Amino acid sequence: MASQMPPRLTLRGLTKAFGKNVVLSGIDLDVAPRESLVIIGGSGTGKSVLIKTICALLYPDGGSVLVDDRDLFHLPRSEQQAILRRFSMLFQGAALFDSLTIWENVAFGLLYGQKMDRKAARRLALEKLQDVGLPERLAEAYPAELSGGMKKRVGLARAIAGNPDVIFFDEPTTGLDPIMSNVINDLIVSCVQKVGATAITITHDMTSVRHIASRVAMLHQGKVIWQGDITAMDTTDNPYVQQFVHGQTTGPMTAEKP
Amino acid sequence: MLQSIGRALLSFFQKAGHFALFALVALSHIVRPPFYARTVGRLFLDIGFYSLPVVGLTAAFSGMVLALQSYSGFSSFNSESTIAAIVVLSITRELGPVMAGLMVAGRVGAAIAAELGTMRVTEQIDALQMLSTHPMKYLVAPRLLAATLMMPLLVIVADIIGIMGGFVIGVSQLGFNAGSYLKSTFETLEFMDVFSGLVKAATFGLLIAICGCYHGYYSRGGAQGVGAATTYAVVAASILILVANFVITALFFGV
Repeated sequence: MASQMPPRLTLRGLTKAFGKNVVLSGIDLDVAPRESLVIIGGSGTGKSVLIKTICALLYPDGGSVLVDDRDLFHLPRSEQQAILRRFSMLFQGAALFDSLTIWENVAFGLLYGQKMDRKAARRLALEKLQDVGLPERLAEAYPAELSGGMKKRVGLARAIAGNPDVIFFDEPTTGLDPIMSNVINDLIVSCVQKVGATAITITHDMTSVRHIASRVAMLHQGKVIWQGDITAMDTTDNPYVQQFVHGQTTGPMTAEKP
Repeated sequence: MLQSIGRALLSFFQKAGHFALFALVALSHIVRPPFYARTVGRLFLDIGFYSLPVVGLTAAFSGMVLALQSYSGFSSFNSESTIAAIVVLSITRELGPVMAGLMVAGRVGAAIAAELGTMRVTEQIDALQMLSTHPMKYLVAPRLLAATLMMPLLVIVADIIGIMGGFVIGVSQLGFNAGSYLKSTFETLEFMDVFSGLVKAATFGLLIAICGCYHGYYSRGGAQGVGAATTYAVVAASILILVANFVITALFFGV
């Protein structure tokens, strides 16, 4: 059903290089509203660069990123900012602000982006903390006092606090034990559904992929070499996907040259 | 040979231009809303109040050493007025702002570079952008403002403590009369002496914050990168302080 809607995000011929190192060499991808797309691929294939380019944290060398058919990098700055305000991200290490309390971290976008009153922002932050299963008593703690899993939950609460249209998840379960990984996966699914957002996740964790994804795209050498529904991932005869999904050491990809 | 000199020169000018552009953009954010009063208030405390002990101690011992050294050098023309004049002019014009500047560069410049560098490598700066907050406005501009405004206040304190250090040594060790020492101090001191020191202080504060922010903001490569950024920030700020000190002295007192 999602694929019949006009895409929320359309990437066409997206390229990005750092000096002579070409990371993205012509990415074409469509993401429908409310779809949960997971991008898989070996280390160094450009997954992080891809999502950072979509979010305008990096500027592409070529190609386009269309958000609801509007070219993000050819818009006046104010309009570009308005679109970017609809995006949010859960960073790999959560990227919480050390000098702020947990509730201030969660409410940061509300306080400084939306200029919400501190009392109202705190109330909303507490609600979001509850949504991710964290007790209210942690609101006044600082990030350094939390475990890795708790930080990820706070990061998730911050990502959903502004009711974004598109949420990016950068390796959401990296560094977590299997139980906490599943907790985060469940929270991602429930929170994204509650907010009604489009989700784009990059991960190596196949359990996460099966948990979160409605569609999967595989990146290899800066290009999307396969994409399809999550159900098609196990049945495809694409040798790259098969090797990656089953973690085989032999196949078209080698450890030296993913 | 010529090629490598040319490459080095080009690279130097490129970096200097990048640094200058960063400073201009950051300065422009100081006067454009939104303003982060809470952050600026916290930085006033961090940069100003918490630098008082180190700046005060440095100034006290500088004043004391100055009194002892001038006495040993000028004992043949021994007079309280000469020693008092040397101490008050050296402290207000040079030692107060320069010593405070170097101390604050070590304490605050390093802290700014380390904080922003860590924020960069842990993606906190990217997170700020994702939360619709301009990092230059939220992180850099308040630090520039706080350092520029706090340094003159620190230097006023340093001037007073430094002069008092010289006074204590003059009276207790060198046997000067307290009243005539103070009288000579106030007779020698002119508005321009203090004012030039405060202009230097504000300039040094700005330079310290820009160096700290610039090197922290563009740090990369994990812990090693943050360490390198901190070193560069302190070294660059210290050198720029000495260069700026010469330029401002030439402008105020040059013939």
